[in-house]
Amino acid sequence: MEGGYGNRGSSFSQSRRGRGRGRGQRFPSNQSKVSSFAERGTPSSSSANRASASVISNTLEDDAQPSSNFVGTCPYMCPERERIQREKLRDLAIFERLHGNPGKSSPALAVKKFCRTISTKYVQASDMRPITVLEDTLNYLLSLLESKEHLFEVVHDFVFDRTRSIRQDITMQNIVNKKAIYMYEGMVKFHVVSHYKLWCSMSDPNTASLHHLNMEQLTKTLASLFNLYEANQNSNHVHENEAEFHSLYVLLHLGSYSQPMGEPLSLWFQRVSTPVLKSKEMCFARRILRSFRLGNYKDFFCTAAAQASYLQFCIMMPYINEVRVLALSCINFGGYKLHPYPLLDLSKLLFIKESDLESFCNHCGLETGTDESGNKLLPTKQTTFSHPKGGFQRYSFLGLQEYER
Amino acid sequence: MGETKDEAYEEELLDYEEEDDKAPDSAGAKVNGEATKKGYVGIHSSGFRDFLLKPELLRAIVDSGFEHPSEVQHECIPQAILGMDVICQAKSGMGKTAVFVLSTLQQIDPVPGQVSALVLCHTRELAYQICHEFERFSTYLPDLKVAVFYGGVNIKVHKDLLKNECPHIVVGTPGRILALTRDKDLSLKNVRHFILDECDKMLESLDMRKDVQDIFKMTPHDKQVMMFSATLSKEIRPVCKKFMQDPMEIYVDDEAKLTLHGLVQHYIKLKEEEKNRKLNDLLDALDFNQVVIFVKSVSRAAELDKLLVECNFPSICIHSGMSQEERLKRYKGFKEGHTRILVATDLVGRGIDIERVNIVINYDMPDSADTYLHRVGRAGRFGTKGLAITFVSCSTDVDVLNNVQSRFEVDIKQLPEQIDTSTYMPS
Repeated sequence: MEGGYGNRGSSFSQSRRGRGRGRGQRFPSNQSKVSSFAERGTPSSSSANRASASVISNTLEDDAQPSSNFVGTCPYMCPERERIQREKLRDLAIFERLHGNPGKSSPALAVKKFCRTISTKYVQASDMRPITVLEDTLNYLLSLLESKEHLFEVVHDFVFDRTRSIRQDITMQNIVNKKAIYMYEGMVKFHVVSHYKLWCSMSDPNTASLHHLNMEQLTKTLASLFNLYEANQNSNHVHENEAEFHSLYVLLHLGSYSQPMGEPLSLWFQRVSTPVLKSKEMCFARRILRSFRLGNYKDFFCTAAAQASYLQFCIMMPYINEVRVLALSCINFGGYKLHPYPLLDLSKLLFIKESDLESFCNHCGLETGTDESGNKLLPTKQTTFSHPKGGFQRYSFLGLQEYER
Repeated sequence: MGETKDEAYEEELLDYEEEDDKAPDSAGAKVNGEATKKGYVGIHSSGFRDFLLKPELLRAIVDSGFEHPSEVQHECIPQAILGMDVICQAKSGMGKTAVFVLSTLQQIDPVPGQVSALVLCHTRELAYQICHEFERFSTYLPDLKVAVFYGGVNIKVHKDLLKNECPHIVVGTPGRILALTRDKDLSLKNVRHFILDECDKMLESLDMRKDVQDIFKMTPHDKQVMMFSATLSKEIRPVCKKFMQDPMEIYVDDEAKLTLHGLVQHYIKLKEEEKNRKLNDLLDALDFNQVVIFVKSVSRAAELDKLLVECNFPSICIHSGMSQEERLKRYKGFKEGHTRILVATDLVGRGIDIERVNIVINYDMPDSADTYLHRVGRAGRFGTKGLAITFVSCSTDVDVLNNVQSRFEVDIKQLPEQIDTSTYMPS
């Protein structure tokens, strides 16, 4: 029994050291743009031990596998039949119009549209794109995100729908290889970055809808990615980005108090392999979730500032202000009335600009003051504190400023 | 060593707490009132494979391009495939049809000459569509037969089919099903799955409810009952439950909230005599894939369709004044994209699933908030984008619009002069 505790302690210590080691190396790679990420070759894998899947799981996996594989032959981003029909119907997105003509496209512009009522009963091989064409299509779509010509919402609409179609082609052809993993990682990344960018303009009702729809596809794409990791698992390696993408799933549960849970997180942990579970990315995510739920705002902010990758930051950002409100609540009610809290100190604690902090306090119903030397103060024990109604104005998180663009 | 041990212990303890939704003083506990009003996205990591469906079904699901279950499917399918009674309310386009299609196909064991499942719906187009879904998902179940029966077709055709090639799953409208059972051509004594789609429509009309009740009485007591609709008022729910035994109740996005994500809604105030001109202007100005224009009567549908054709708009119409054959032919043509404008009565206001429809125009105001919801649900389905425009021409129209807004907590604004196409067209 005592030995058992010792073993667990050792693992924990190792994880801690790993966390520190990874810090410096992670920022540069995670600062890369989406298109740069998409343009990389198939990621290499690192060695690690891995628990093997249970016999029952393997059996179910075999049973679930459809017996025949449908292989597409379409050489274009959009099947020719569909392109011609959509030209006729004037069903062309802005990015698909040849010289702006809403009734004319081309093989280099048209991208297959997501269709929910499809079935292989009516689909020909020439309607389906093979994996190499899908990869080229995805690279093309992600390159559109660099466009300065259109609003992000406009680009998002198009990429959202067309990546959905890519996933559909992958699903219907039962493609489960490493290239599919790499593509799914790119698509998850698109939805994660969109999660942050759409959240920044949540005051617009239309954008709020987009944010909701994007979250739907984010969770589905992530679930597919996990299935692909599982289908490709073997005993001697973990995919390069596997731990980080699993950590994103944990961080998505930051929002689970205000909405029903899909399933308990602890059940999900049981299905995660040990190397992934012990990874620094997962330990980070679990620590953040724990700090959030316990209301430990200081640990939440310090840990985020020290360790969050860009993708993790994008998932967490909507909740930063929630934690700030909690922090203000604690300080307001717990502070000593005769000693107002200096706003400069508070801004460091909350990783927020001092000028933003004043506005933030006012938003929470708290008044700020000034001392004789001109320093801004927050008087504590104010009875007017209230949780802000409606959305927050956008405030930077100073620990990760380089991620905001 | 002692310190390390404590940390390990703390790790174990805190892991357990992660399940506790009542952790004290956490930031998440301070719920933002507005946030909870929005539709939620449950965070699921499981998929269709985790439902333990038959391999033949999983294969058909993959072939149909389904990647993951929708929220409704997640909530309903695990219980439904165990034979539990289900009453489900969810907005249009959230995948209710697949719930009862997959659940039925999962449980059914086809016995020659026996009807095991009965699906009732209130329009022929909807019956046709449901039958199509059964066929789509039963591709790899070759022994299984599905048939659709509705009025307007010579009943002898149906009687012959039942005699020669008895289906295992019957989809139909109550009137025709009742006629076939009364004439002893259709036996319901082996029905194990009884399903009502758009059930409130059938149960709120006393005539149709009587038909449904009579049909219900001819089925065995021991069977699964499933009911679905986008609108299940507090008043109709008890009526539904009377057909059921301890049902599982799923109300996704409670009916009070009309959160059709991706759907933009507007109204236009105008006089009756200005409607035609305004409609022409809209059809000229708007970018649309396919549009459905709803009117309140058969005569107005025919009249408006004629007018549009004369103005060189590629329009067709569907209404109950047409023969069944003609209706279905036009429905298929529109669905396949042969025409882009459909003028229709509320006959196609429920359940009809045409993927390319991204604009709905209420040329005539619906008679109720429920009808409004079903009509505008034809656009922007399943997470795609759409636009709904409603003509308001008299005080009665204003009343209905106000009722829609208060009932569904939605703010429908006047149509602006310059509408941004990106709000309803995929860009």
